[in-house]
Amino acid sequence: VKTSIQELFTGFVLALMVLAAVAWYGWRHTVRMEEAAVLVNHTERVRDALDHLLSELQEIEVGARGFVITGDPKFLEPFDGGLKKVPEELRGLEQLIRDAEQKASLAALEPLIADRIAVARRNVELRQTSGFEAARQDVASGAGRIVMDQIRVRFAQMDAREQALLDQRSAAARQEASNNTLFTLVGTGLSFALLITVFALVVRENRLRRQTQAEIDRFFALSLDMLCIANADGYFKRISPAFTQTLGWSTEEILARPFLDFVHPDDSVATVRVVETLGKGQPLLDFENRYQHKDGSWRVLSWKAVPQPGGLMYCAGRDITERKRAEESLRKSEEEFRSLAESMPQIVWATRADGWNIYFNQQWVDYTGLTREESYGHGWNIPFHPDDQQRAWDAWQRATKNLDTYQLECRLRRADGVYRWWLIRGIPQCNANGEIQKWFGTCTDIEDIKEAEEKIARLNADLQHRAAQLEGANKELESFSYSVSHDLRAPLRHVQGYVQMLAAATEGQLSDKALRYLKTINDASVEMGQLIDDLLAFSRMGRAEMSEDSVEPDILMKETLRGLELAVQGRNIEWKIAPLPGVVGDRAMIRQVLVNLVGNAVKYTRQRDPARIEIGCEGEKDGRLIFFVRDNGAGFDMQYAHKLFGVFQRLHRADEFEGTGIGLATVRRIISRHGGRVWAEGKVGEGAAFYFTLQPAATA
Amino acid sequence: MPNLQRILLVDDSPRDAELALAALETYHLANEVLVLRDGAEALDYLYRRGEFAGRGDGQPAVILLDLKMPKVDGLEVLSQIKGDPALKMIPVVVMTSSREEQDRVNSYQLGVNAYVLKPVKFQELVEAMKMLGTFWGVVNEPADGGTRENSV
Repeated sequence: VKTSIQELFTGFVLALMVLAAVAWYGWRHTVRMEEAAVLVNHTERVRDALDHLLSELQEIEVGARGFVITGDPKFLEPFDGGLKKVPEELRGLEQLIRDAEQKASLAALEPLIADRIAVARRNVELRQTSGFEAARQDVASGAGRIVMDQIRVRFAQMDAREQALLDQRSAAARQEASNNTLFTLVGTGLSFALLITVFALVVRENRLRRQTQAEIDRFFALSLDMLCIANADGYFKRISPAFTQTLGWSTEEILARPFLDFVHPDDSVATVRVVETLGKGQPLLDFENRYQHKDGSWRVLSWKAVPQPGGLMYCAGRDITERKRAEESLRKSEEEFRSLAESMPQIVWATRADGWNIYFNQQWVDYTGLTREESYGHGWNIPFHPDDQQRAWDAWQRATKNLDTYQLECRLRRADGVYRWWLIRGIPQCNANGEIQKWFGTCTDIEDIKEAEEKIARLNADLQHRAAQLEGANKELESFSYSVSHDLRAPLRHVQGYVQMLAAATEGQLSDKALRYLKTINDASVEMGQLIDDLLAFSRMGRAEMSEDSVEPDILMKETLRGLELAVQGRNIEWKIAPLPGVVGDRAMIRQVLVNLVGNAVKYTRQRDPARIEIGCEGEKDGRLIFFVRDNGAGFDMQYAHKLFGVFQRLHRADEFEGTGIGLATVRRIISRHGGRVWAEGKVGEGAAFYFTLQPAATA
Repeated sequence: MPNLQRILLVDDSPRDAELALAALETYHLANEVLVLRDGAEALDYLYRRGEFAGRGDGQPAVILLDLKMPKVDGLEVLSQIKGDPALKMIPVVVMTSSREEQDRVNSYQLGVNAYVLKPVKFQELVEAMKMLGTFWGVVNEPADGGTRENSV
């Protein structure tokens, strides 16, 4: 709970008022006590005066009686003295007495005193004039005594009255003193309580104030901004720790020097002017100057300040060096973007999120012939081909919706009115919320690419057409082979069958000549059957699916020799077969190669005794194993070597060596399907060597 | 004479058929051999329809089937026979001049009982027909218990 100044003030005033009341009451009591003392004194004096008056009257009586008795004038001395003093005493009493009752009593006393004095005078005169007797008789008459008694009664009355007054006043004074004590105690207590309360409040208020101040100090220290209080004399009066953090100087160092000492020389005039403006009571906003860091570098600070009474300034400074640097680098990168964009061969553009164009490079101006002013905003669509404008708009809408790349192929009008095909691409730049801020993009001239694409498409279509034709041809070839295998063989079989049947039916009736004709017919049909079989095998080698096995040529070689057993019967052949390394390929096909080559070697060495056939591997070249089959047979003329591997190509007459001219063609086809090579070396009459290469088996 | 079943020879080539019959004759096979000219006739015979609607009961001991024939080819006939529970037990031997691997594979996949290449030489044909006739026509015990078919 906060205590307001008013509350404190009220408490204080109340305490003061109570104290004042107590003081006033005490003063009044003193006055009263004084009055009471005066009254007591007065009473005493009145009683004394009464006593004196009575004694003077008695002096007069006693003097008069003595003179009467003695006639001695000495006795007249007290008498005369009394006569003189009584009026004085009476006047004194009259002045002293204030009480109305006593005044009345005194007034009543005066005639009695006058009577008594008159009696005494008569007594004295009588003594003087008439002598003793007369005087004695007068005294004896008792007139004087009677008056005197009355006087005494009066005096006693007055004395009693005065005593009563004194008692009354003493009682009042005592009461007064008692009241005063109570009042003083209560009042003092009350004022003590009030003062203690007020003191407690002040203490609490002070503590709160200190807390608040501490909070303010902490905030002051916490601020990233440089907070300070500056004086009109050009010094900082107080600075926040941010100063040290920003500028590197200690607080003492900064406070010890005028702040202008830290300001960049180029900024000091402006700074002084600003301080003057502040001095005139105007607040300051966004003033920038440079302060020197302890390391010598300059920090750009932005200031805000409000003037305070007494020439003080409250200022807040912010280090904007990094921001300035960032702005500078942004400006630089924008510059770089521009020079990059201008240096590109393509058209470069930028738009706002709504498609309003804000940038085109020179290439756009050069191509379209439009000025930038014409093109900015919605001017970009001027060169669009009328048929493409809707597409462009649709693509734009799509890209905007999906936050996706904007991509479009469309025609743009060149300055000379010719439309060319362009590829337009744009990329959205989004903020953290995924909202598009800007679009950046390029336009690329794709007229030539388009033409090339069309050409490629034409070529592709052509190629596809050819592929289809080829496939058709292959199919035809397949069905052709099938027909050959089935339909061509059937008539041959019939020829042979009927020849046999004819021979059986005419057994013993035909001449030798006729029999030879029949044999020729039969042989010819057998030859043709072989031809057909070889052709089919050759065709199958070209078409058949090829497997990739790990093949051991040694094993295939044994199989081959077994197949040739019939052909080598009765022959003298020196075989020289080296161990053959493993290869990769189709087992059946490779076997066919060996069968054909070794078969040829056997065939063409028919006239040799002994025939020498060598089979081996010459090693590896270019990752391929080189195999060979060499013989010492008929050989061939190297001049015709190129014809060896052609279909139906033969270098020997059929009556020399039978054959269809397909075996080596099949070998070449198989080896080339394995990615290998076949060649031959030979010399007429000396023999031939056939080489082929195959892929070696992977070594584990 | 042993109670022998008919042999069905399906071949569109009259020469082949004549040669086959000649080969069988040479061997003096006692079975009756019925020559049919294409797959359609073969199926008509087996299902007793068309001109074979009135033929007697019983099925052949073996069918010697050529592959390349007009109308319904041999593979089609084979497929129908082996796909029909009533016929699938009849042994079928494909006799063809085709050396196409595909034909052989297809035939065996359809369930052919034997696949024979027609020999080019007559003597070999005679030998082949002798073996076929002896094995399928005489030695082999048919699944249906060997009921003799009535002569047409």
